[in-house]
Amino acid sequence: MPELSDPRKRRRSRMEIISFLGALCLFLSAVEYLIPKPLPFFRLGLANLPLILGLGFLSPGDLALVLLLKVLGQGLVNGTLASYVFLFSLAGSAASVLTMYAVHRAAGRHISLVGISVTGAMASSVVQLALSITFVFGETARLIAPLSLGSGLVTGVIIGLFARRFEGESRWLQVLRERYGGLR
Amino acid sequence: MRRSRRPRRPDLIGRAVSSPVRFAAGLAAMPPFLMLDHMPSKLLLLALFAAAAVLAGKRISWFYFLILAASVTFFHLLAPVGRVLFEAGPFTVTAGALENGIMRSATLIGMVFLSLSAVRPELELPGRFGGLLTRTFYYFEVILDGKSGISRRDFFGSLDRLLLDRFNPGEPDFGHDRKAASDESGDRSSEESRLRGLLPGVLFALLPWGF
Repeated sequence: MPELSDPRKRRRSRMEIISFLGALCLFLSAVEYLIPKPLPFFRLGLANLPLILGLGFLSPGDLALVLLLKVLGQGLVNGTLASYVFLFSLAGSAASVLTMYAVHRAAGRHISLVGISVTGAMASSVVQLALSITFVFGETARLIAPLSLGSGLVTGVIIGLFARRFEGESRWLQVLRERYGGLR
Repeated sequence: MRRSRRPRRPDLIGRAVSSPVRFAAGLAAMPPFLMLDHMPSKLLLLALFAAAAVLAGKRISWFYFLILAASVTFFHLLAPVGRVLFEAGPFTVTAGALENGIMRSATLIGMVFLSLSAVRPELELPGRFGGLLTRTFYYFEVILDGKSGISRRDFFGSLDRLLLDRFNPGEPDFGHDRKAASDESGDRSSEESRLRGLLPGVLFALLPWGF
């Protein structure tokens, strides 16, 4: 593996990794469209997989960049950049990543990727529910809180299991982590 | 991963109006639409924005928006406001709540239609972050090119192989020169004048202000 002594080249290589992870978010988002949904508003959140995996090796700033690339990229690809959907996506994803990062830092090895994923999904659900009450459905949307939080719990467990499996099996992730570690 | 491919709808707006102009027109059309409190005018604009989204080549999931409108209206009906229209058992339908629900759902759905017609993936954001986003779309296309290698039976294994194949971290600078990559993916901005379709764009942006 080549050593990059030039800080500009190292930074550029780091940005390549970040943009690739952002692209993977968009790809997984596209894959998710192929999965049948039990409900019109139900989302699995497969695009969050790179963010969960990135918790283990990306710096907070780079993690935030991947998050922004994911949200903005999805807004551009789906054409929802200038709508409430983008606001929901940004707020939900930001809350999720922030919570997962905090839990990951605080609990370290004492919490599994499934646990981290569940906390992130719940944070996202709570924030999106608050936005729903404020901007979309009104106060009566509290009635859908159990459904929203329940589906958040289920998707959190599923994505966490996916992340755990991928982390255990992926050669690409291993190579990526080593490469990123050499650039810091 | 195999999927049934439906023919992509042509972007008729894109033939006449450049991405930056349509984005700016869409943004300019939002405030008057948001502020509009006359229901027939709002519904008329909603229909116009839906037509614009269809002309932009977007596939609209009408069922999704129908469910969204119904659920937003339903939740507003749970909080009675104004004159009672009718009662169905314990459920009271009031004129104010119904109007609030319809107006709120029309606003939300109209914004989505407007966004669908105004935003294109090739829209370039300025600055260093804009460059990073462009790079992300380049890699997105690179990964998408290999999607046929993804199998449902071995999703994670096939995804891992695809990612290893598409991203070679062993090469210095990852073997990509930004300009070369930009040329490879097609520098769309150079292909079109950034101000193409300014007149229809301005007319579209001004239209909601007339209501």
